[in-house]
Amino acid sequence: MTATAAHGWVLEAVDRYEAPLLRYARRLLDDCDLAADTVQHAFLKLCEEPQERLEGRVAQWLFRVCRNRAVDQLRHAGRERSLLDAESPAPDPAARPAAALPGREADPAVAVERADLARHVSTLLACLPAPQRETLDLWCEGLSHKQIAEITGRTEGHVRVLAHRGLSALRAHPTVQALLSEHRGPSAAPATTDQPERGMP
Amino acid sequence: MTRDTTNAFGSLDGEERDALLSAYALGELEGAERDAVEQLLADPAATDARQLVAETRAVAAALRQARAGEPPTRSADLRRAVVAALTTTPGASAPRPASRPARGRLSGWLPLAGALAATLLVAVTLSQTAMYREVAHLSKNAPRAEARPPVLSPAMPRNAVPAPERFVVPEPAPTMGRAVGNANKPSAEAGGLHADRVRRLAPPRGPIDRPEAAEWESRDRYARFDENRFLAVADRPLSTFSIDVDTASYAVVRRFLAAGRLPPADAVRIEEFVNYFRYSYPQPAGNEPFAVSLEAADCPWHSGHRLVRIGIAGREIDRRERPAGNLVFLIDVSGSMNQPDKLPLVKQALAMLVEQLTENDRVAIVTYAGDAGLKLPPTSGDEKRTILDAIDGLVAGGSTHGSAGITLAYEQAREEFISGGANRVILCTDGDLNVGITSDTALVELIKEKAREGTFLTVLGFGQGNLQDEKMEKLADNGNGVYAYVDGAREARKVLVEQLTGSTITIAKDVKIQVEFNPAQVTSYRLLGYENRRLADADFRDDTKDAGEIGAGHTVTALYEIVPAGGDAPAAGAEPLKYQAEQPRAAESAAQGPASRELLTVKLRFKQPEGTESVLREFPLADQGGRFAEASADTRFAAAVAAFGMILRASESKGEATLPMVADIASAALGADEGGYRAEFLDLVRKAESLRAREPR
Repeated sequence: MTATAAHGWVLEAVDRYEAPLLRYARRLLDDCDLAADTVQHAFLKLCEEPQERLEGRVAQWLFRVCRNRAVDQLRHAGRERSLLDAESPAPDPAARPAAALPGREADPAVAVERADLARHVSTLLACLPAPQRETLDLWCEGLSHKQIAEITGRTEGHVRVLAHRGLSALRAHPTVQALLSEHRGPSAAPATTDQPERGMP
Repeated sequence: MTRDTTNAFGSLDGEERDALLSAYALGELEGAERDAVEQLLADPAATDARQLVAETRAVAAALRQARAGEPPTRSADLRRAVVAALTTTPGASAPRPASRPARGRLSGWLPLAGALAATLLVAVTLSQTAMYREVAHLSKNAPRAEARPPVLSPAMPRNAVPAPERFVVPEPAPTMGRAVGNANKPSAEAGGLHADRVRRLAPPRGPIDRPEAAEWESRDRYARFDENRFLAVADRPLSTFSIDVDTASYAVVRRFLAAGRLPPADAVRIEEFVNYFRYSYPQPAGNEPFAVSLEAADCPWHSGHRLVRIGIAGREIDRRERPAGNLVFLIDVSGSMNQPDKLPLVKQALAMLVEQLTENDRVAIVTYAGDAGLKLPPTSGDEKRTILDAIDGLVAGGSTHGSAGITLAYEQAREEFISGGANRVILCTDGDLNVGITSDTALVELIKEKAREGTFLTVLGFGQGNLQDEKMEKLADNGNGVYAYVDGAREARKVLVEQLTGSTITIAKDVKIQVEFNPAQVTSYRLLGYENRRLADADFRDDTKDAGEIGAGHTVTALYEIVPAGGDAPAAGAEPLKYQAEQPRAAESAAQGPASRELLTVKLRFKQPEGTESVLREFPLADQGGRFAEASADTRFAAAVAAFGMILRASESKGEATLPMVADIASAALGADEGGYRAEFLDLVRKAESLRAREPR
């Protein structure tokens, strides 16, 4: 009743990718059960694939199958718009992202909390437009821009821009700026101003 | 960007250039691009480029750090399903002739394997032995790859890539304004101290523009209730309530948050939140049906206060040792059940349950309100094929024949009555209770009578829009059974598989809790949640007053926030103050012996499942003065869940509780987290945090 060694690679993939895929699917779908089903679907499809065909791209393949399935499910539920929304071109990196994020007026509770950067950015991440959030989610799971491009069916250049916009929006958030300046130490640039320090005189 | 950077990047526009810098910071560049960026960064004038890279790195590292801090989620089911899928592929299990190229052979089987895999998607719980039998069956009857395999699980479309119709439930778009219980509605407390069980309906999940969705919404009610307040021990030394193992509120709020909305305050019921989770409390010794464990620690949201956790663990009954089950499913197959979260989910739930059955069990299936009748006569639990085929054959809709419904179900139960076993009729419906007896009174009478004879009624609610929560709970109550709302695959598993023994075996009934506080140690106290489960102190000893049942393996948790005697200072171990007004009383009780050091005593009354007289158990708690961080993971997690509920309710009692605090406490208290429920909780907290951040202030 044990899977033969020939299938060890599938079980290895389960060990390695189950958790990242679940996190990814959960973020796409906002539903634990659906996410678990989606991930299981991907692995069961994997069982049908010859190993050699996926040599070196198991991760992309799994994420992509997961994503397609999730998109189907979102579409079925009439919710796919956000994920598939074309990123608006508006490339004003200084103004746009910050405006899109909450807490411009710095929620006092949050400001007082100021616990740690990691928590703040991961909370803010949830508020980014879906394509940016997805790109950063995937990157955080250890996937390269190239892999992300394969998974999401976007060009690598597009992925690069999406990641950049997302990160810029996070950076520009006042709380994040404050925390970053703490990281840099007191000698660094003033943190909470909306005008980041310009080039050397 | 400064003008001097343009040179290094030729014609790139501002954003493309910055994107390149970001990509560099993420370590995504190689070759010429990387060289170009490094060259730029070496330029002393490129301060802002360096700042961009440094900040991007810091933010990216923080993101990854946050991700790494998330608990790993694993599911035993996935592995099992994958192994099963692999082992049912002939190439994987049977030795094959060496001369035959594996690829060719495998590919011949692929469509079949695919279909099987698809099937597995639902029937993952089918035991592997059964799966083997399945394969044997397949190879006999369907040797050709294009032949259609039998569908083990009825919920599944029969192609290899199933359409996602199964669990896809349109997300809720509850409109808070309307969902909030209106002020005209009588308060849940209006009925007096005894639990006035005003039930809540789940929020509508259909897209809001669908007419029936609007209809659902209008029926949606969250009974308004006032939170428990601090009560002075001097006036009210006793606190009495009925146990509650309902968890619906948590599922409801999860739906709200998933839809990107904060729930209305009255949808949040603290005790149902806390009891949604499993806690690993110590099991009872000997034949006791319960163990009670108590713990006191600092209250995380109010310094100076103490938090007391009462944990009750119902004796677990090993599934293999559980009494034989005589289960008759009474299934609503009316047209309205023909929705992904109704009949298909019922069928899926049943398929999961079948796995747990043995030859000692009997299963029968009766349908009503559609294509009605006896679909499966009582069948031994090891004839899984027969049972699964019958489940597979269930179809919603069709004409309504005269339906014997519930009478037929009880007849089946009586035919196979197992003395000493779990004899149950399990009603699965979305709210159509036209089970063949039209008079409510007659129906309740029948259910009561059957319960007296030893056949209990469990009610499982599916879907919504029509769910008659209150009535369904009433039926289950009269039938000595459980009422549960099943909103998805996970809930189905929880109710039917994980708690199989729990929801079919009641180990004690009319379970009441009374806490007596020691005025020498406690000034005032507040029970978190259980507002609608409060009982009059006198009802504790009154065996004619009903209370909640508890099933095998259930845990029940209650939390008290306590103001220790002597003001806001922690009382634990502190000597009574010499000149305080309380001093004489404290001295007096100290003279009475060790009891004075006790914070409180938990008294538990319950009846054996067949009993009519209650039994009393007492459990004293002496506060050891433990700090919150040193409390057990279960206590810390329960506290986080309660705090989350209070924050969502915008409770006046939430003290210093904040969502980040909840996330911090919970993430440090995940424990083994079987099933990933606690990780899901963390996700919900983060979701709420981001939603609140978005709210105008």
